[in-house]
Amino acid sequence: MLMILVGSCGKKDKSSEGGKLGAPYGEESFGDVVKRRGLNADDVLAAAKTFTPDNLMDEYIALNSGGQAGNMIMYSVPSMRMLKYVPTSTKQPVNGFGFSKESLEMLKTGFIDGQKIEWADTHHPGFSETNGDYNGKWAVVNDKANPRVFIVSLKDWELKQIVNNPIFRSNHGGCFFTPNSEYFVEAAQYPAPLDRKYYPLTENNFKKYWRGGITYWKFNDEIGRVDEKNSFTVEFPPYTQDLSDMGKLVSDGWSFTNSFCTEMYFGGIESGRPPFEAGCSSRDVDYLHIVNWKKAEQMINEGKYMIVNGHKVISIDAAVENNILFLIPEPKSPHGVDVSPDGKYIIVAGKLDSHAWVYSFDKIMKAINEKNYEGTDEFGIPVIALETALHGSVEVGLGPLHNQYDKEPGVVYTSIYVDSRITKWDYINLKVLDYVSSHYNVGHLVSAHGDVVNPHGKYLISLNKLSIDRFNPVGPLHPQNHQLIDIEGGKMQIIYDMPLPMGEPHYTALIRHDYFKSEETYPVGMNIYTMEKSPYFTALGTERNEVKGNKVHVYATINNGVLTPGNIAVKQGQDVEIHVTNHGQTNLDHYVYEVVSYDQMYRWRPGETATLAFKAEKAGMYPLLLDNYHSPEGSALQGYLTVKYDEAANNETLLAYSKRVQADMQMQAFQPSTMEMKGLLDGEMEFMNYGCNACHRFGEDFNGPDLLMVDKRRNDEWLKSWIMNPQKHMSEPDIESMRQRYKLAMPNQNVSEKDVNKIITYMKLKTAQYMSQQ
Amino acid sequence: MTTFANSVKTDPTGKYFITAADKAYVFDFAKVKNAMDGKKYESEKVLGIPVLNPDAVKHGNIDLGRKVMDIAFDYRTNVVYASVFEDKKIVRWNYETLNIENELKLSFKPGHLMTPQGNSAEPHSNYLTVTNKEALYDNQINIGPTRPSYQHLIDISSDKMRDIYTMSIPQANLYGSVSVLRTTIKPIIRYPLGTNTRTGEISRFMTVAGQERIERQGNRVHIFGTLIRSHITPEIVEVEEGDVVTFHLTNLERAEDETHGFTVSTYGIHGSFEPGKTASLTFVANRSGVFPYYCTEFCSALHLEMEGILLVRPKGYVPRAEDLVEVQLTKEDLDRYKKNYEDKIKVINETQDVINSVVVYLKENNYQKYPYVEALVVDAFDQLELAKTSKANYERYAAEGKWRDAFLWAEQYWQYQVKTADVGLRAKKLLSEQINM
Repeated sequence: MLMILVGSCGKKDKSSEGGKLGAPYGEESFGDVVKRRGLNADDVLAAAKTFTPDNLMDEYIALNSGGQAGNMIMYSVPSMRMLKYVPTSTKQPVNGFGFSKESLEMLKTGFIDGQKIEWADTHHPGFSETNGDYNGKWAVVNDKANPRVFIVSLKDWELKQIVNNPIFRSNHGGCFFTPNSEYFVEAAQYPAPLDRKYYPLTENNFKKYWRGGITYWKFNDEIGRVDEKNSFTVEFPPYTQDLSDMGKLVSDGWSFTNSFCTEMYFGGIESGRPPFEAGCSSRDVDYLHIVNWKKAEQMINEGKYMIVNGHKVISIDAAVENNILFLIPEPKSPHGVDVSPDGKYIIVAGKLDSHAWVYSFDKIMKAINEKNYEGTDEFGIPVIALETALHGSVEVGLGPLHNQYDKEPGVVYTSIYVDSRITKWDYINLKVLDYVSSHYNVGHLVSAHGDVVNPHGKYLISLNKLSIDRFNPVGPLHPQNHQLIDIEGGKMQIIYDMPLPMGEPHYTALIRHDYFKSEETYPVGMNIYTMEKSPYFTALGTERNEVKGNKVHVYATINNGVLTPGNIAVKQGQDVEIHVTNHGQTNLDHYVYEVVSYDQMYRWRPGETATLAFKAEKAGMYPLLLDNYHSPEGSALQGYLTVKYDEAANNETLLAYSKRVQADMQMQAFQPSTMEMKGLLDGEMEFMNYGCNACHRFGEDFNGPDLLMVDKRRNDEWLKSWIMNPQKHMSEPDIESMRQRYKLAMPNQNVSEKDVNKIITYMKLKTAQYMSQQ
Repeated sequence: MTTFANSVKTDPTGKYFITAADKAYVFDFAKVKNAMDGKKYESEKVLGIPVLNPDAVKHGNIDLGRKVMDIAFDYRTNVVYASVFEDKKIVRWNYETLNIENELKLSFKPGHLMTPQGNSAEPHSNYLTVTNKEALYDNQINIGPTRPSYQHLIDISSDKMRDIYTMSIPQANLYGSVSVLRTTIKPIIRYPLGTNTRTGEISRFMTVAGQERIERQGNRVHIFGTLIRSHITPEIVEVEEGDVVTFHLTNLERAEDETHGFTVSTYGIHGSFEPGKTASLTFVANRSGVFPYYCTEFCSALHLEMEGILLVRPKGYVPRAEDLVEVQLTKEDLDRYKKNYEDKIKVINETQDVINSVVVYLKENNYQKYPYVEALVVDAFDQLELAKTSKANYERYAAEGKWRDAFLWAEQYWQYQVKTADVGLRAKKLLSEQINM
């Protein structure tokens, strides 16, 4: 770990007293410290409010989306200390996710149309609810890039299910639970044809085939799983849908989704069309989508739906006919839409309007009951006039983005992106109460339980997008800055700046520590992804090897820091599965077991059974290591994996490697433009296109030997024969020793006679060029 | 020596090296050298390697407690710290006199230690960090089986050591740490335009504004694109099913912390593009359909609009006539756009007033004196500079009576104004805070 000292003390600091040792700060009084560090009363108060010594407990857990880190990030409040990165779809060695057979199988359930996807752009985590309050059982988060949702259990804060959206191409407005977790929603973001087919991109086709929508995932709150068969989507026009929220109490049964780019514009800078950003923000208002989901559920039960890609979809026409879908104008390019704790108001913040708009649910219902519409949009959806539905609006600042509620009725906090501040205001009496600056460009914000029926107040966290001068510089990629704000008193006070590295949390949910009950160990033999007893559970004393055809199953145990069996012997080419059961049952019994240089490792939690599965491609002796995670001592040798050489298998490995290189070559091959060709040496393109550069460099040892002066070491004839027919030379002693050194064999790249001469010419030119530059 | 040692470290003077287990052994390098020069070895070699007699080369040894895990030096002459795992304590001792100076009792079993600049010839004597990998605290919130490791910050500046902060570190299996004085390092804040950040060289795929293009050769498609608040150029890319597609992207930003991300829906690729960086993302477009691509870093108020569309045409696709119909603008449409255009021009003028007022404030308060503020102002003016093309476009289209294009380019001009105002306001805020500090 590399740390950067923020204080500049030590002996080189001549200004400090105490000579070479630096000042003996440890002897300072409280007043001395305050004076030396230049703290003011607010700083000291902020420190006192956030400092959490070992004998005190933090109050809240913040669960953040990790953005492109493809995980969820947990820290505790008010001490703002990082606790855990919960993987959702990015492999995470420290947790083991993606490295055991069981976790890889889970990861694979998130592959879309067979496409391997090992990351995510997680956006909005939500907690499951009972009676409109967190029930402390489940958390879900959506992946904007690859429309999916991930379900995590609060029992162990581990991933339990991935559900792929079968009709969207991206999403955004998720995940928000209904007040009794009957459903949670996932609204689309960028519209695309729901049948996932290709259509030429024209303005006509965009309106005809491109669509948005909102998916209601049927949720079983008992077992924490989505029932895909009983889930459905309400089709929306090709507006770009954004955040959503579910009604509560009086508005239970309704959902609200905002949108931007209701212009249905698409850019094309390269062909002279103004960019998306111009066309997508040219109307003065966008549309808030309102859905009566209880009635939609009824339509599903009555069979009023169509099937798209095996998924139930209520078409726009059917939704309009059955009076379940309505639109209301909303401020330009909005982001957050947030239902008040009593369910009576809906607040929308539009980034390109300086006002936040408050809608009255009563007024909306009245308009719907009286069919009081100003008309319809192009798709026939009734539009309720703004003045009919609006309770009022307040000028909150430039770029309002998201709203969170206070425990005080009528009080809401809105993040202001452009002005970099939080505005506290009264949404009943429509007046601004207070401001506080944030640093800088706040996106979302979260208050304690600020999106349920009984918000706690207390804390507000500002999720700032830019941190420029707030922390020590560490290179171009900056951390995010989460600022903790005390909202207990009358005036909002920033009391902590927390740098948050790795990922870009878009959205946070706060839950008080006594709202959930986690467990630190599993019953012995658990597959933690299915939460069922693993068929590979191995009792102590029954450790064994079973060979079935070309497959070797090793049934192993970890007990008291020892792995049994210690040694494993297989033949090259065999498929090996090492099933390990961790019999440890205390919260210190976490073990990392590793097959050195076989890219195989996993972390076993107490009681867990998991499998390392791999093909024994390489012959040799490979150490097997076990690390007690909670002990400061390093890995301990348990034995060796011995892979006995097998000629046929070895050849197969080499062939597979050659095929991989060739596939890689195709991916990397690049034909430079005439302009770039000028800078190339003769034969350089052939060198690259045959993939030689994957392993070889000049003046540097890489995956293969350094090619500098290779023409001096070997004659042309040998080089030619070697490149075109490496197998012929494999038995030469120096080739064998190089093969051992680089752990790779020169593949046959099927280089033609014409090209091999060009490559040899290039190697000579490159060497000459390199030498002349030295 | 002892049968098992967790740590061996050379002292800041280079004269001693210390191994630590239950007993700590202090070896004298001069004695070692002496023994080697005089070839005073034990009679038995180990695998042919000569073995020195530990008693002949050691300076001395000391009992520190049960299971010493690690040692660390500070600036004090001949002073070293040891973490004693089973006894839950830090021992500060003198390796010259072999005396224990004092101890700090801990509430946990300590692991690795670190002092600032601790491996150098001049360690600092202010802080000591101690790793707690067991991570057991009475009042920690139970968050399931996996929990973080911890480091405690110990104030060692005075005779009495004090445990002053407990920090959790998730996603790490802590073994060692090193620490450097912040003034020793000079991290950059942006890369020279077009840098391949893995090699540090200018990438041959660097693309500058205006040079964006798509090059095709058989089934190989290279897209040379750029990223800047708030658009990706090109915005529409069409390829054929089976094509091998590479996006070579360059982040044109100069502003600090203006990172953009890039991904194509459901194609499993993602890149992070810090200011100035060029990187390439390759995938096989083996599924036909419509795939949005977008920026994954919240980069501006119009971040969500930083998007594009990849169309993958099925092999052998023949369009139906009905799918090729283009929308024609009517007279009413044009009149509406003309009015929109005129309204937008009014907004542009109003926004310019806001920008001007910010500029006046910045100038009156000598923004150049504050490097962070100045960098923001430079960025703000960059944004306005970019707006010039949009202005030329809207003026030209207005003169030609192409009101839709005129309106949209006016809208784009205004977007640049918003970005200018965004950065300008941030600069103003920073400046006012600096002045009031």
